[in-house]
Amino acid sequence: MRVAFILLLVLTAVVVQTTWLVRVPIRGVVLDPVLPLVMAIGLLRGPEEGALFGLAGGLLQDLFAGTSLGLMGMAKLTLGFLAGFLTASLYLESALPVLVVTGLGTLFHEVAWTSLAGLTGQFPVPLTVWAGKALLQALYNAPLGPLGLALLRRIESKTSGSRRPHPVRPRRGGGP
Amino acid sequence: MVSVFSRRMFLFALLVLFTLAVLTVQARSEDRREIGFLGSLLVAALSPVQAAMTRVSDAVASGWRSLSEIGELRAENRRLRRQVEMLSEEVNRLREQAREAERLERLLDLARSLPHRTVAARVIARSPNAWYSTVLLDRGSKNGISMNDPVLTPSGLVGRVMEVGPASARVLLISDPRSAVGALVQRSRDIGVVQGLGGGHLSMRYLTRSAEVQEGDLVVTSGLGGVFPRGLPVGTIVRVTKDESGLFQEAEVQPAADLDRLEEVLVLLKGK
Repeated sequence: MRVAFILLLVLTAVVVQTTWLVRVPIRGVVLDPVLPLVMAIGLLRGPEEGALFGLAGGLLQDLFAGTSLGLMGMAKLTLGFLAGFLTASLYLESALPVLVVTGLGTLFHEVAWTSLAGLTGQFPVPLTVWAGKALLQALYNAPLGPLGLALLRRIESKTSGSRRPHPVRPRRGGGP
Repeated sequence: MVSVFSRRMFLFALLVLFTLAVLTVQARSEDRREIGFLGSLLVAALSPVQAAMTRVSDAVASGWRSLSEIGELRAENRRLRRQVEMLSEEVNRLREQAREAERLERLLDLARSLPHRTVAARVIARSPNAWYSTVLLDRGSKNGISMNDPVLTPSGLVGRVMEVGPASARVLLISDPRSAVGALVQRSRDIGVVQGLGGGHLSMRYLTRSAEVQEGDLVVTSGLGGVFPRGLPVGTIVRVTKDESGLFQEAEVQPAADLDRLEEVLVLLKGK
């Protein structure tokens, strides 16, 4: 049930991005709601779910963005996986660390997918232009981090009654 | 703990391998994109949702555009209204200046045609009383104006100066009941006296019974009495009343000058 909800949320984020957010770019940069969501999943549910939902969200973005399947998929898979390792060291009750980590995560994501695009011969943008856009993307995505986390926590509490995420929580037979 | 880490890394490696495989397939395809059956199915399933959402955003965008256009049109309307008001004021001012220039030109022509020295003056006030007709000029004794100086416009006689101050002069109009002007009918040379009746009306009295006076005849000053020079237009006869039993006949005269709309006048400096 929870997985279905989160998958639906990721799908909705992709559709919203490709239909609505693309129409209101800010200085040429379109908000990426999937990225903060994937990071929030990683932070709340651990590296495995972060990686899985990251891959799913990234592939969906590739599918609807018209790019090669796997570019965003690989970037978000890695991002979700790495975000899962931050849970123990990050104070999630405060918005500021989440905001900063989302910004940095966006930069990592931009570097990752453009590197892959470069490797497959699909990176025609000059590096300076790319750097400016990547920084802007990080700035715009960062505030969405705490929002994504709050939304995900709400879904968690509705579906499992648990508000305390734990990446190393036993998958079967345990839980609070 | 180690096994959990290993399991995670194994899953990650598996996913990375899968993605790399997908990417490789993509990179080797003609357009560097090959979504396959599953991808096509997903796109087909979600395209109606995307279409619906696009319609919603289109409607919102259209509404927003309309709203912003209304705002822009209102602002433009306000700007154009202000511009029209400004231009209307400008046109009125220029029109007024043109009329004034025209009047002054006529006044100047009149001044040149007269054998007397003249002073042009502007009417700055008029009597509020309906029956007594006087106007105040912005020129006075400092400009050479003295008592009983005749005042006229290019159209005809206006009156005479009845009070003089250093910088102003009050003129008794010919329509005032206290005014009497020695006059004659230009065509028949019959002599009479034009008196004011108040309210802008004039009457020519003391015309003999034998006088051949008719409507449309021009009445001019006779020069008798010493106040007004001879030959200034006073008005036009509009009606003649002949009393069978009386000694004289009387005529109603329409003033030649528009006494209700006096703006600039010429004062004849008779004494100098």
